[in-house]
Parts: sequence; C-alpha cells; structure tokens
Amino acid sequence: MVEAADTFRLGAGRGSDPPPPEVVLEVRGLRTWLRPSGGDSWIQIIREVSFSLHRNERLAIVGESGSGKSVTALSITRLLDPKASLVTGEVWIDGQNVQAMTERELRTVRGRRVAMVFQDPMTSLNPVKRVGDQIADAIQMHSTTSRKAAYAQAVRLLEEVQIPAPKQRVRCYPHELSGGMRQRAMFALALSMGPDVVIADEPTTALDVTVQAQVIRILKERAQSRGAATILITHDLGLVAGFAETVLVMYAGRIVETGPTERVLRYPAHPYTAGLLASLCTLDSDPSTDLPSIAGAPPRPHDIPAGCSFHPRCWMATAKCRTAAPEMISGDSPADGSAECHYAWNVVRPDRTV
Amino acid sequence: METGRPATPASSPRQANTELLQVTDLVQHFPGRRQRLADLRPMPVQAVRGVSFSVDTGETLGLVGESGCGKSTVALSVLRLYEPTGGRVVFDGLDVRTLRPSELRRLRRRMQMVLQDSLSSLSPRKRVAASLLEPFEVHDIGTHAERLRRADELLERVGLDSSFGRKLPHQLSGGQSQRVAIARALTLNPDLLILDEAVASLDVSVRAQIINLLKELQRDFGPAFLFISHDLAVVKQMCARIAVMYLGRIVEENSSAGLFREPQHPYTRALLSAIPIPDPVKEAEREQIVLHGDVPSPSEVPSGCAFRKRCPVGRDRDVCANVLPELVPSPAGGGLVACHFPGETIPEPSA
Repeated sequence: MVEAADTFRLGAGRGSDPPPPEVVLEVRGLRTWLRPSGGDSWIQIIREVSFSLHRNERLAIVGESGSGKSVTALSITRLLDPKASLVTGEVWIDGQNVQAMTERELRTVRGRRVAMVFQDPMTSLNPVKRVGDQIADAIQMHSTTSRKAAYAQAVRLLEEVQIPAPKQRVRCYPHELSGGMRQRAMFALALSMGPDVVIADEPTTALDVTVQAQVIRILKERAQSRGAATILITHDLGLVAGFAETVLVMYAGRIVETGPTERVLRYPAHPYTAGLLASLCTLDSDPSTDLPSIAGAPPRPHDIPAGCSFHPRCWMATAKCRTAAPEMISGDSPADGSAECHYAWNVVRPDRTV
Repeated sequence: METGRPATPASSPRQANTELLQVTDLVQHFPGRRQRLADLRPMPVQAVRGVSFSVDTGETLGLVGESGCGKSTVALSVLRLYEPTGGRVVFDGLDVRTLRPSELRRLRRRMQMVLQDSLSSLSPRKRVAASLLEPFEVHDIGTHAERLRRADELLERVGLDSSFGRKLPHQLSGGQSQRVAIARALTLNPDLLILDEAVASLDVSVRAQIINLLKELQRDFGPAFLFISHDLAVVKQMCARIAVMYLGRIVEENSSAGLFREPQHPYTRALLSAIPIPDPVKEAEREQIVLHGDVPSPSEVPSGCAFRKRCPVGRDRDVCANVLPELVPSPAGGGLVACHFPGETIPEPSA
C-alpha cells in the first residue's frame, strides 16, 4: 500500500530507520532539481514524492508530460547527471539507503535490485552487439556463471518473454528485431539478474496497439513469476486498469492522488484524476456530444501556480485554492488511499471547456 | 469570414453529400533497399496496394491502422506530395494526377494538412503571425491589412488570443502549437483538411480540447476531414465513417456505429479488443484477442491475404494463403470487408 505523502517531510529523514522488510522500495520526501545544460538556474521538477512499494506489488505512476514521473524513476536509481541535478530526500531499496551509497555499491543495486526499461529500447540496447551477448554480459557481470551457461540462460529468458525462435534471435542485432520484440528483449535483460523491482517507463508508448497488449501482459506475467515488484510509468489510464493494483497520480511534481486502482479509476477523489478520466476517449463516449475536458495545459516546472498547483485549470477551485496549498486527505478507510485537494472525495466531473 | 477564393470556379458553395475526394485503386511503391550486395533488383516497398475510398463534402472519414500500414502514405499521395505509382485521385472533378504544377498548387490551397508534430512544421525562427500569413503570400491573396486581420481572427477562432501572433514556436506548449497549425491550415478556408495523427502526441487533457475544437471548426466552416489515426477510440469520437487499413490495403469500411457494433474483419476485432479500458472491472471481463507476432514489412507482403499469418481465423486455410480478398459488401450489411470469412470467430487457445 501507498502511504500518504505528507507522512514524511524533508530533513526528517537524516539517520531515520529503514522501512520494514516487506517494503522493497520506499521513497521519502523526494525532491529533485535539474539544471538545464548551459544554464545556472535550478528548476525544481519533483516537489515532493513519497511512497512505498511492497514485494510483488504492481504500482502505476500516472501523469501527463512534465508531471515529473520519469524524473522520479531516474532519481530513485540515481541515474541523473550529478552535475546537472540535485536530489534530496531518502530512497530505501531492500533496507539500504541509496542516497548513502558509493557509485560502486550503486552499480550492484542497479540491475540486481532495480532494473529499468525505457520507452525506446533502441537507445538502451547496444546497436553493435548481439542481443544474446548483451544479456549474457549482464548475467556474468553480477554472477560467476560461465559464458556458455550465461548464453543458455539468455535463450531461456528470450523464450520466457515469448520471442519466437529464441535460439536464432539470441544471435540477432537489435536492429534486426521488430519494436515489440526489442522491448521484450529489454524485459529479458531487465529480468536477467532477478531484480526485486522493475521500473518500466512508458514501455509501450512507441508500440502499436495490438503489440502493446502482448507486451504489457508479458511484463505482468514475467515480473510476477519471478517475484519482482513492478512500477509502470505511463500517461495512459487505460493501461493502468489492466496492470496495476495501486496507482499514484502525479501533477506538477507532486503526488496528488494515491489508492487502489479500482477505487481511483471508478471513484476518483481528486478533480485532476476525475478530469483526466472524463476527457479520455473511450469506446463508451458519445461522439455526438463534446468530450468534457480540462482547460489549459499542465504548468511548466519554473512556473508552478501558488496554492494548489492545479487551481488555474480546476472547475471546482475557490479563493482558498489560490492561496493555500492543500494537504493529503485520506478516505474513510485508509485502504482507499488519499488525495491532495481541499475538496478531496467530493469531486464533480468537469463540464466541457475549450 | 471571406478569404477570397474567386480564382477557382469549381469551389461552389459546399453542399452536403456531394463527392469531394474520390480515390480509386491507389498504389504507391517505393524503391526497396538492398538487403545484401547480391540483390540486384531489391523488392519495392509496397506501401499502398490498391486503396479506394471517397470523402463527401463536409464529412469526416477516419483512416485507422498501425504503423507501417500506409495510412500516412495515402495522405501524401492524395496531395501528390508523392507521385502515385498507380490509380486515380479525383478532387472535386479534377484528376489530381494529370494536373500541371501551377494547377496543382491552386488545388492544394483547397486541401490542407495538419501533422502530428506541429512544432516541426512551424519555422522555429518565424513568429506565429508570420507563419499564419505565409499561405496568403504563397497564393498572393489580400492586402497586408486584410491578412493581419485574418491572422488575428484565426488565432481567436482556435482559442488563442492575438498576442500569440508575436510568439515564437518554442514558446508554445504542445496544445498551443497544434492550435496554431490548425489555424494555419484553415487560413485559406480549405475544402479538405487531412489530419495525420493530429492529436496523437498531446496530453490526454489537451487532446480532448483539440478534438472538440476540430469538431466545432467543422460545424462552423464545413471542411471535410480525412482523419488519420492509430487510436480507434479517438477515431470513434471524430468520425462518422471509418476505414481500417492493414499493410497497404483497406480491410474494412463501415459507418462508425456499424464498425463498433459488428466488426467483420478479424483484424478490426483484434484492434477493438486491444483498446485499453480505463475501468479495471470491465477490463478484466472483456475478451482480449491477442495477435501473434508483428505487422510484416511492406517489402515482404505475404501472398493472399496479408493478415493471414497473424489471423486467428484464416491462419491455416488455403484460400487465405492463395487468394487476395477484395473489399466487397459485407454479408452482415452496411459496410465493406476484405476477408474470405467475414464475421467468423475462432476462440483462440490462450497464446
């Protein structure tokens, strides 16, 4: 389950205790600033993110572009350029504090404990190395397996992610595989070291709809059978429904709503979530009427509105929302999750706005 | 809101139900690349393999398919931005393929296009107003004052205020630059607007705004839309009639209502079942048809029905391997379908 984001505050974490063992990943008061190349001003991308992930849990982080969902993932694994980024808060993986680790310790965490899959597998796979070699390299880097055994394991992994003719495909270069197969090969690579957490950042955005369905199903099954918890980062609420048990909705660098998937998608507690759901084109929407939509666009990180960051776009906003930042408010039962809105749990859907 | 199009007598007032664009047996091949040195004559890429459809005045036709199915190529061939390899394209009585360059340019002001990445179709160093004025300059229409007034008017019409005219493209958000691209496409009051994945890269909350805007503009100005998209849910919201493409051919065409109620082609059914539903209960209940493999390359099109290798119905049937199915009226009535076994379903043992 996801804890309310206001449980932890920045600074409170110095020397604080590790999470209980059933929590495989815990993020406390994460804040991230980035400095665009050449500039010397810091822009805060993550304003406050806290959550925890249990073993075998499937979590989705949903948000629009610029909400900070990808930067959250990169901050967790400390993959941001240290010269151009500033990360505060705590990240605990398997009871170890990532922030306190040396680069060498980090390298065993990445891959072995946390594996990442990105949107474009072409940029993560080495274009001049055979797929099998890359998987075998990764296996050997983290264990004392022989080359032959590592290669055999690579074939098994490709088979597991349902790549047809894995014995031949293991000898292919990335460009010889289709987009869907490349992404599945990435899953094989990610799962090769038996990580406890797999973070998949928009893994199907570049794929066709019919292939997307296969790929998501494979990710779900494979991660589950290998006992890895999964974080799916996506902008697509439709994908979340079929994949995740728990959802975090991000807006302008903060988590604005958390809860079990079914509750969040059926009874959203935050107006932003309700607005996103209402503005989705679905097979049930009526083409003869206009889609309800949220006015305006997500704010840019250097220009976050005061008070509640969603208030300029919110159809429920009052004077209070313009000045006072809302707190996380839990539902009647803590299992329902929480939402960061002055009027949380009393949400009306948006009218049509252009 | 007269932009002046006196030079083209054929542009009589838009009447309902007259055929505006008629495409017959359109074929578009591209020279193939050599796979190895010994390939003296590499196989051509058969991007479009005989596509026929028509768009009526003021109507919206949706063209749906996955990447590589040829839907964007169709658009570019219709505008003759590619020289078609074969077939006929008739726009308002004019055979587009036989037009001289000057005639073609006159025609193109009546057919405009909006692309997915509108930022890349706006000149990065030109202010928005200058980009909006460009079509007037190209076609030499109106005085400078008239042009400026029209640019302001257009910006307002797409929901931006006239101060946006002074901005540079990089100062615009994704939704704003798409609004500018739409405004520019409407500058000369075209009869046909080709929208190629025009809302695909927008955030969900912004996408709904643009879809509403497009429908409103069509109500007010009446251009026909050729709406190209991979997203069936978006197409359903936009279009009255839908054509589904697979590997360079239309495999099914029907009214939107008919297509979603009774899809006849196994590929259409698979596409429909792949649309994610943002409701965990409905998502768990519905039947998912998971197709095998990926879309084949358009330079190695399978014989017979191009879909057969992924088809749950016709994978092992001889007729599917040998005979190319024609797009004919479907036995269920209403639409057209190119399948030897339309409407048939075989529940697939889980893949």
